[in-house]
Amino acid sequence: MSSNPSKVEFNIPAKYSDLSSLEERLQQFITRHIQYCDDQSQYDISLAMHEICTNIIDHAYGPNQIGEIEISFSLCHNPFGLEIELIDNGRSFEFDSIIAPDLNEPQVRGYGLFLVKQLMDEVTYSTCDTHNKWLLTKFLPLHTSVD
Amino acid sequence: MTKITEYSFRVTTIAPTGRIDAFNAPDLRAEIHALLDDGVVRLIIDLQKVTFCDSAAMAVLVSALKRARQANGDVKLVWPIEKTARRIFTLTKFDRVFDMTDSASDALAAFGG
Repeated sequence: MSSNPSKVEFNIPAKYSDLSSLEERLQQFITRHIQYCDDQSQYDISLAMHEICTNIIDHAYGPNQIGEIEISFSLCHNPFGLEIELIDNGRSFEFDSIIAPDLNEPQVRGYGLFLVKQLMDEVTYSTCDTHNKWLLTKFLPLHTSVD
Repeated sequence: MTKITEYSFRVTTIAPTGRIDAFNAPDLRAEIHALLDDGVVRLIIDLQKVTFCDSAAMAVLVSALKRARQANGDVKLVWPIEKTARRIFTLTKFDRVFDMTDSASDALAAFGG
């Protein structure tokens, strides 16, 4: 746990079966630290985080690599919002090479990162020799922190 | 995930409940494709009791739609009751690609049942 009371850090196994518990942790953080976050915003944040995790499981680690996802929830200010950081030690990719899906032609793949960009206000991806880092930010309208 | 399958007017309805995500989407895909393998081409996927869909769920729906339409059939979707779960369908414009209704009976009527 972080010494910052409005920041929570933890690791989860990079497995599909662990993702629903991750969403419960997000809900707990929001309930504890954010006075107002409507149901749709909470759902959108949860879905975006879920999509990044499945991307990490599918592409950064792939089917033959066991790994972990390092996650943190924190508050940002000016403007107020929620930041989610997700770090993996798998393969990196060219974030800018992702092509948006043709929404007039339904396709089986390619919606995940498109959704993340639609659901969050800011999405950044960076990579270095040892890890890849996603930072998702959602700005929230009413901004009284409970703590 | 509990599913109910009903047969009426040669239209098959499948009604998943709860979450459809990367963890359990393969199960739903297998169930739908088993129906398509059995010759079902007019399918209603009733999502009223679904509370969460991710892109893996979208992939299952698209694959069902493509297979059904290749066989001159169609897939109609029933909107989730929970408004939060509807957002992914509008963002991806699935509400334009699929014929979406508010109830299974409306979907059945759209098939001419």
